[in-house]
Amino acid sequence: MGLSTSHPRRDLLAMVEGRLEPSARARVEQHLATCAPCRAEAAELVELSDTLGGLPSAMRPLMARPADSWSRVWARVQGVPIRRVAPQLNLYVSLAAVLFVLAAALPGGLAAQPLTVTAGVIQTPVVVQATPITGTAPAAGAEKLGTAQAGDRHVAAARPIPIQTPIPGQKG
Amino acid sequence: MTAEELGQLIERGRRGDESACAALYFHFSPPLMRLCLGLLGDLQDAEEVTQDAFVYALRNLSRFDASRSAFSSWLYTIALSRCRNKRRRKLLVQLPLELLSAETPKRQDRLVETVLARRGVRDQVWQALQSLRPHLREAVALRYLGEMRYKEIGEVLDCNPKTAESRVRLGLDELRQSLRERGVEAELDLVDQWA
Repeated sequence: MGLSTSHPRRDLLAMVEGRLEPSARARVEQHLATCAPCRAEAAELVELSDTLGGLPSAMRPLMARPADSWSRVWARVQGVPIRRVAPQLNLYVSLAAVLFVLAAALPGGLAAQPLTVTAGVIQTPVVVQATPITGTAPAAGAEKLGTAQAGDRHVAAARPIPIQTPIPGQKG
Repeated sequence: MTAEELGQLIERGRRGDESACAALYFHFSPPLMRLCLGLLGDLQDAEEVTQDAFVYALRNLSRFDASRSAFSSWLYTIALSRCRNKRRRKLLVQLPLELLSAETPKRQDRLVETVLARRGVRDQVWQALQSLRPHLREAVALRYLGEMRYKEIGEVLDCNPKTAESRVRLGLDELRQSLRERGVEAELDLVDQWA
């Protein structure tokens, strides 16, 4: 406010907060009686202090009850990890899905089962491992694969190829 | 809570007594939470820092030295450090203040302002507090939200009580200036009181 050092600005806060000694308070009050800028500043300080001082009680509705969070805090103090079920479950599911896909895609994986010519038709793109072929008659799909021989591997195109073979894990 | 009761709780807490630790938490977490909220301006962040600070404090009760500072000062120092780190991390991703003010406030921020407004507290004061320079905001928050004396503020801010008082005074000066710029004028007229 551009006040000179003769203005008791440093004492105004102490006065507003009631921390001034009686003699110092009398001196400041005497100054305020004749100095409008200092009176205005003191008035603002009173209002601001009141407003700020009212914040704690005003904030009370925002505060969660300490009892609600104590068990969590105490568990952490004791070093017990906080269990977050949902994220862990998601992780396991994702991990299982990735492993399944990898297992299915790798040569010698889930799709690489010995072909057995019986009933049943697979209608999905499959990786066909030609060995060992067991059975008494060539399957329709096997014919389409051409000159399949023991030890050869044939990768079917990404289109359904009907192969008469039992679906793993399925009867009939 | 008397100094003797506090000393007993701390001693029992050091031995791992849950009820003593809970009593410390129930007594000190509300003002600590207010302080964190005043410094961070975000309810979720404040709750997180309050709990983190308490977890650290209760795990390290043996490090508290009653001859050096009050327990509340020690606790607030731990929380203040975490608030500073939290703000620093947030500043890395924050937009300039001008842009932020043009954005829709977050839900939690609005909640704080709504509750304060409902209680008759000007949200401009809250906003002005958030915009203070950090070392002044800390001093003002410790004084009015932590309800600390200048001696304790000095312990937390590692300065003498006179410096602590000076920072609060400068903080109030900045607050008044900020409120004036926001068009908030003092309503109280104490001319008659001191004339």
